[in-house]
Amino acid sequence: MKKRDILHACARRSPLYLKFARIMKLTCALLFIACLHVSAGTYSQNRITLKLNSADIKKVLAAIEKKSDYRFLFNESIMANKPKVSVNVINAEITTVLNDICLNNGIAYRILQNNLIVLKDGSLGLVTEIPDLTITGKVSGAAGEPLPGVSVSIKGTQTGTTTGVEGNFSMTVPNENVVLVFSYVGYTSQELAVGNRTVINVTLQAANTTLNEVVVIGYGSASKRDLTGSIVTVKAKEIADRPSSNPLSLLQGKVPGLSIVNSGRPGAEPDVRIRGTNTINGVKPVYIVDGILNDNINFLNPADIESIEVLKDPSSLAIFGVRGANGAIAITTKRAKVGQLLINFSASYGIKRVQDRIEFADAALFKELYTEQLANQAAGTFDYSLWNADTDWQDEIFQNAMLNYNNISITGATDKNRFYLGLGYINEEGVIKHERYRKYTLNFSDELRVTKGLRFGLTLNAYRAELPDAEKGVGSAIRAAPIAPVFDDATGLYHTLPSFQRAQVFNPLVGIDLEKNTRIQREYRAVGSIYGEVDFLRKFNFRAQLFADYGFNTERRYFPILTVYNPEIVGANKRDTSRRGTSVAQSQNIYPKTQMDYLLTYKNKFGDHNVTVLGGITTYYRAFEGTNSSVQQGTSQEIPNNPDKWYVDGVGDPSTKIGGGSAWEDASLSYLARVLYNFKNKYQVNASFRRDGSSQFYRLGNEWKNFGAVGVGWVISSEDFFDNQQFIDYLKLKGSWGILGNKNIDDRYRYPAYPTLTNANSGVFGNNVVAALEREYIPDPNLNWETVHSYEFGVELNTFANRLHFEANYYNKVTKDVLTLIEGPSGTLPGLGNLGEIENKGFEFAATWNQNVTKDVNVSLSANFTTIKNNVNKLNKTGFAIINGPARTTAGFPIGYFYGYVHDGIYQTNFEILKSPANTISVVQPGDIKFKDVNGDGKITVDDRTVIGNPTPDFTYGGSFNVTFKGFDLGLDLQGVYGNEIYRAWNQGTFADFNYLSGREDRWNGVGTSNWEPILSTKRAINYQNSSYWIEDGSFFRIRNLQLGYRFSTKFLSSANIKSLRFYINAQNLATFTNSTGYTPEIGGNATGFGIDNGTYPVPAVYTAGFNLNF
Amino acid sequence: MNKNIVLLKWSLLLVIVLLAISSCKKKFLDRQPLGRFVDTDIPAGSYDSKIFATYSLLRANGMNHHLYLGIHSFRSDEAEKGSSVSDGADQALMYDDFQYDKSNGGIQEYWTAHYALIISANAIIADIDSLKLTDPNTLINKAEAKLLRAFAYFNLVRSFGLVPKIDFKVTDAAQVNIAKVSSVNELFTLIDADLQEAASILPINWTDAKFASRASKGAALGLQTKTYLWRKNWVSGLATAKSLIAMGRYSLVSNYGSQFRHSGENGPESIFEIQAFYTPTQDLGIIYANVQGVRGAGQWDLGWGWNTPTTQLINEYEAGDPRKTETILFSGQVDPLYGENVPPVPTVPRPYWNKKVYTDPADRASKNNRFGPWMNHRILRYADVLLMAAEAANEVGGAQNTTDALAWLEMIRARARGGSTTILPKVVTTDQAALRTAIRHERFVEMAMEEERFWDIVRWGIDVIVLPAAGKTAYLPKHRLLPIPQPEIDKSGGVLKQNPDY
Repeated sequence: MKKRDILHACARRSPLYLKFARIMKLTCALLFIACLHVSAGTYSQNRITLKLNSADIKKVLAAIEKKSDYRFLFNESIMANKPKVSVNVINAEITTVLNDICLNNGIAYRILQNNLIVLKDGSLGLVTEIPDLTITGKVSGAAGEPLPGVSVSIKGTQTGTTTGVEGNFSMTVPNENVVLVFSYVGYTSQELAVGNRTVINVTLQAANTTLNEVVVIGYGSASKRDLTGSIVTVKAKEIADRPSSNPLSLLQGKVPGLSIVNSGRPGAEPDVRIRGTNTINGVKPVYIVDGILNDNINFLNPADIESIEVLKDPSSLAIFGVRGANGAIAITTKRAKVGQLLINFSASYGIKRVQDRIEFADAALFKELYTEQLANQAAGTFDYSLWNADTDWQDEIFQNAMLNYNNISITGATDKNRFYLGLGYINEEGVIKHERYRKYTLNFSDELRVTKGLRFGLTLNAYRAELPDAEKGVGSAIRAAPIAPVFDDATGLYHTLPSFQRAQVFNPLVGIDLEKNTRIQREYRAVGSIYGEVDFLRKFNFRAQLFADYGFNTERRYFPILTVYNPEIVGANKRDTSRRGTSVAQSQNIYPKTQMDYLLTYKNKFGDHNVTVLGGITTYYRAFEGTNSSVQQGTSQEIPNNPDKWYVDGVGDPSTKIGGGSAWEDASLSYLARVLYNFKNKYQVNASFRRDGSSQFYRLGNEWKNFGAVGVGWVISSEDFFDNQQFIDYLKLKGSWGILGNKNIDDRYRYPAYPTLTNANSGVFGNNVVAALEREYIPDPNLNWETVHSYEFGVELNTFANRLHFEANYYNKVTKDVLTLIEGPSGTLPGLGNLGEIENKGFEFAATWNQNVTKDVNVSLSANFTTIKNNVNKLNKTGFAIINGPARTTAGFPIGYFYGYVHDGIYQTNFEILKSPANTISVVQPGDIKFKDVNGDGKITVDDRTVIGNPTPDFTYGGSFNVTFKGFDLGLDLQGVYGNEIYRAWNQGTFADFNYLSGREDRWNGVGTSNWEPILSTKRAINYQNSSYWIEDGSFFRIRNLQLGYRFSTKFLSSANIKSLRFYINAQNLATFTNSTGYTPEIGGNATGFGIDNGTYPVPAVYTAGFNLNF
Repeated sequence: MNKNIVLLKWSLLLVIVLLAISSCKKKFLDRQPLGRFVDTDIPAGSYDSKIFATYSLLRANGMNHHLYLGIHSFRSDEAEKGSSVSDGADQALMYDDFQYDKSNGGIQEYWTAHYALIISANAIIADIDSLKLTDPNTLINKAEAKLLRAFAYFNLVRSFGLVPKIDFKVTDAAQVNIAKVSSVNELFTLIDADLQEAASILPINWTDAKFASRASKGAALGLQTKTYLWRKNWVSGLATAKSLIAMGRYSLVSNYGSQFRHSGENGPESIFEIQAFYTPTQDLGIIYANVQGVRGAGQWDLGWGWNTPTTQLINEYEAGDPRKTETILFSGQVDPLYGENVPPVPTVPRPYWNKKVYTDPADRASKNNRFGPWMNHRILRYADVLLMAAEAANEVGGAQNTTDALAWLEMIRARARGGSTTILPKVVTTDQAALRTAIRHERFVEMAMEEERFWDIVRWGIDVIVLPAAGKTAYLPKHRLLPIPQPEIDKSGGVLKQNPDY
């Protein structure tokens, strides 16, 4: 420690003038850092009780620090040769004590306003009057916006304050020679010497480096710099003002290694996978909302989110043990930050529309094609006389949907108490008529500081959703023939479809219009926690938190009588009533979950060694209970289409009342430990361990399993040999290895170790029904967890004066003992066992560039790129396949690959058939698809089936471009996937005749007419085999988001008492460039069957305009 | 710092640590299934609930749906896929035109449903054997399991020929991945043993009236007779048929048609039926009648309209045979049974429909359902056994057997003519070949649309003659057997081999 004392003699009397050293001893424990930031300003407790006999002055000072909020700053040298002192005071003024022990021993002191007490040598006798030095100022961002919550501290100390809501601060400093450090998350810190200034206004530049950011790491947080893993943080501002009722969908294209496949259905959860498809049962990551583990985050309001962390690597995930294998997404909701009241109001309004329609045959083309098809099938002709309409069913079912998001939040903080209250209301229509989703959210958090070392808090996220009506889909609209009219004009009834599809395909509007608003679905969640946190023995922190998540939903449903017009009915009455009696169903489900965490943290620094140790116990319990009932009209009168009557009570025929119920529960108990260690911030080691016990395997006696990971990092740029260059600002190499677990099992098998019996199928003898019991599946007696053995290594780099940040990782994950449900061959019950091994590996790259081009213009660019290579290494035994429609999972191939024949043209002539390899699958005729003789044995057999597509992309990418100019900001997000295939399955069926894709106009109907589209005939089964005819390119590139905003200048607003105001317009999914025929190339699914288009709900374009107001 | 706060701090710590310790109790992880029985909850020695579950597997689509009808019925000369030509054209290609598609989901479902029944039965048989239970009830449960297993294997061996023999309790799905037997005798040995045990143990009548339609000794003997006739084992076939007849439990109902109505289910002529039950609140029904119901609009939308009678069947009836109007529902006429006016062609796509699944409009109204899920699927009836007895007797030959054969044949014809003297004259020929022809004709019309015809023409070897004559010109002897479902071969990883002709 350098000692360059700057001593000043002080005058007597209070305030006392004392000498002090510029470089001071740091006496606060690191544990208190977080607290100090906020509350160092005003907290005081100026009376003290202390009893010490013959102690060093330093020891007395330490005792005072421990018992109060005072902190001492002094140079060690002034303590030299001071006598021991005795203190015995009860509830005495601090000044009394200090006068006694300091002044009497030649040490002068001065109490600054932040409870900082500066000590200096009072013996030199040099007395110069120094007035109190109070510095005030304002901190703003590059665009001139005030920055609240900026930490302002005296360099080399933990002493300081934070800026208020308008960016203003005021603090007392010991003298003009101190240097103030202004730091704020997401901005580059600035240091300014005070000099002779009393007003210091600072403009902070947004940081392009996230190295010093504190990130959530599960059961705690840590500086990103100290971690060896791959954690990507998405800040609220990156997703703010983007329209989405589900916050996860906004992460699409933003994070390397994170795949999000969105659904356009309002309120629907996207398909989320981190670093590939790890397993067969459940690929979802675990979500952690403010410490609460969860299966989904549907209950959150995107506006309440402060940041989202995506945890991908073993060293970050091992602490989650058996929940960690699929990765983790940690969400931190907003918390109060500053000492003043802040009210935020934001609202946006918008419209959604289906941008890319499917091109279908119109009535004329349909008639032409269908007539030809019937002729090809020698099936006679169809009489079109009753079917003369030309209906575009897509026009009939789609609407331009409105959406409206509103949020209000109030934050406030005092030194004792900090609270955040957020309210949100989302009202969103679906693009299919009569679909509506409403969501009301409340987010409340409060933290009470009893003393500096003792804190209690609570959080509450409450949610109520009005889910959309009965699931509406595009299924019938994409199959219905255009020749049917929507209505019969005379009766006003909906018209049926023609006989060739009537039994299988309904007029799309029967479900959409006739049954509109017949399902009332409400979902409620209350997710809350209380916690207590105590700091003790200076280096320790103990935190206990109890979490509860109480979810329930209710549903009432009405089934009206469905009457449609059918012109083919013989007789005068053409009404066709397919559902002849009304009925009502009612159900309720509850989903309680509880979690308890007890965490002990030890944090210390010994010289160059920094250590943080965590130990803890956590328990998790979740359960489900549901009941349902229904009643039919029966012999009673018709149940009216009036929601007031939709209860299984006094309506309907009592003899038709039926009810049911079900329940399950599971629990886990875990012990966890973690060490974060670094040496000189250069060499880092992260190690974690978790021992998990699960009720699911309790019966088998193998409920316990250990997981763990170790990671190392080397900050090369901190080495001495790097000092001589300017080009690279930061360079870190890192790697980690670990074993994680997974216990996700198909929902049907909540008790995998218990072969439960079902009574679903009763026996029947005559008119007697007798209860039967049968096993649901065959359990493996050695059933155990899945484990994921994974490693990664990577590099982080900053260069071009920290303007460019670059990260690259290689990851490799092997899931062993995959819990697989084997649909038994030959009609056996499904078996459940640890029967597979799946590997995912690839590279992730991310780069950002951030630059202030001029004072007014800031430009940032970012891009990410991820490769995924998935392979199933083992599955049961050789040759075993999980077949999921056209998708297969077998050893040696990527999971869920598409399997079938290869389209090799169309047989044009009989001669061509003769000279081609003999087709043994079916009798073929000209116009049929010619399959490729893949194995070259001279004939087409089942052995010529091969891999015809892979639903996992080769790579995914995303990018964004943001520019701010004075008050304007412009943001563009791009996103894409490449190299995956889609299987178009919705029109492969032959159970009825469907409308034709307009591409069928180019069908084969004579030599040379087509070499791709086969002849029109559902009778030619060969053309409906799984083949590459049904494969489409799934690659796409999308303009994901485009936003333009304007922030009014503060000058302009202050007259209206408004702190800030921003307007914006936003367009989401503005354009998608793809070769696929469906509404969207984004098609989710489950682990072994995804990318299969069974009539996927459209992902619409969304245009919104909104504002964000603070006052 | 104030003492109270210190106290608070430490007591908080203590409380929390205590909480943590108490929650670590082992019991926290002991979670039993809620609201569900597990194996150990069933009282020892009670196999009733398990055998009922095996019976319930008879209601699977694989035993009643279009694919079952395709395999058992459309392939014959008496029926075809039906409906409009374009509806399910690929299924017509498969079963009418004999372009079997190995990947067809139907044969897979048929295969799976039959093996599911076998595996369910195996578990019961193995459990009872391993516990060496000998109480009469349990032995009856085991005999029921064996009867059902034999029924499933008989269908499999007729449809696919050689199939894997799974006759053990499956505790790991991988155990069933075995090769096909090398000879059908291996399967028939199992079928014979199962049916012998079933016949010796099952009661002739179930004393508890509510179980009257449960598998009985008669079902075992009747099925055994059918398996012997399939193998042209006339002597054993005759013997088992005679022992069934000798039981005296069964009789021909006087009105031929009445036994096919819902009201006639499980009547005195019925030996075994797949039982269906349907009320608006309890659906334990089957799709059997739905698949065959008249395909019309509005109130005439009674189903898919598949499995429709052919003109070959219509032409087979002797003049005035009342069974014709009891078997065929004609389009464009008022049907006398319930007085309903069936719409004409082309409002409905077919002239003839299977009247044996035609539902009572009163049932349709009371059950608020047009598709007849309550209609049982008849598997075996007494008339079938009498005709098999007559056939076997005629084939064995000898004066007494010929006399018996004529007597049994006459029982069928007498009931059919219903007292009329102008129709269906008594058959009197004692010439074996002439009598054979008469019995075959009688079997065709008596059992029409009851899924016997295809198996009959195959075992008589006349399939290659009558099918082309009925316009099913693509038929070849290899089409007697279906290909093994490709997904099963794929799943087996090559253990299961495809039938040689495919």
